[in-house]
Amino acid sequence: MPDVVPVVTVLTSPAVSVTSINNLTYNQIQQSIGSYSYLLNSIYEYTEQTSQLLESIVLKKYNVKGDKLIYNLEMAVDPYQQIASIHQDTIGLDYAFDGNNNFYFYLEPNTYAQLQFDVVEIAPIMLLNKRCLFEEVEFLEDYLVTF
Amino acid sequence: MPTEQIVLNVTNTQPYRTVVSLLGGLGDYYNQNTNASTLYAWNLSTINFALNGNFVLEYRPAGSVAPYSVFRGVMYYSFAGILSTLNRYSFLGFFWHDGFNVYSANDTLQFNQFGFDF
Repeated sequence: MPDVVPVVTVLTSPAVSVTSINNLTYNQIQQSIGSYSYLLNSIYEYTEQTSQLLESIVLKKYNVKGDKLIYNLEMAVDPYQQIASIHQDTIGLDYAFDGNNNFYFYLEPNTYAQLQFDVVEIAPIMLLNKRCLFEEVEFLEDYLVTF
Repeated sequence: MPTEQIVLNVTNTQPYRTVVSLLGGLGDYYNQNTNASTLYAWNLSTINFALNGNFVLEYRPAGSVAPYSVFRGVMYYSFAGILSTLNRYSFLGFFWHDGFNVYSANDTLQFNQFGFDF
């Protein structure tokens, strides 16, 4: 029964560093998910090298039946483009960061990526100060059916 | 004012390809790897994966002196089988590889050795 002992390295900076450049920190955004939902409209990715753009982005979500759906966003790039960035529309996917979903992507060695998510924030508390809820009903019906 | 845009800078400081899980909320167990500074690396190049068997991975909360708990999984005859089992069923964060080295970064759990039961 062979055993393999790990090599443990305490790094001076995180192996994978994730920071937010909004006024909210990444941890605050993470903790808000569940209480708040962020309906994803598009993803913009900017990197230092075009090869990073070719790494697929995986959107995993669970629908109302509990079935797991996986979308691999293939980031097709123009081989002659000068800037290593790409914009991907996701409206048709009906994908939201709502605490039930899982979004991951691959990152090349020693590289950096900036991800910009265009989202629509939804939270129950946002409905309380409305004079009338009817304007939200149609949108919420769509949301409930989809998710 | 509702949030209309989330902007994240993601940096891989290590010399190998990695995976990052984002915006999954607190229930996303892959999130343990994000911003973790303790890196574990196991070299599995001496393991014969054709000898299908069980493997075990020892873990405990970081900083604990309690005995290690054990996650036990099936190898499925391959290196990829181990990784798949770890990432799908262990809930111990994300494990990725570079060659025959398996890596995980985690500040909330402390890992110890892999054991193989042939």
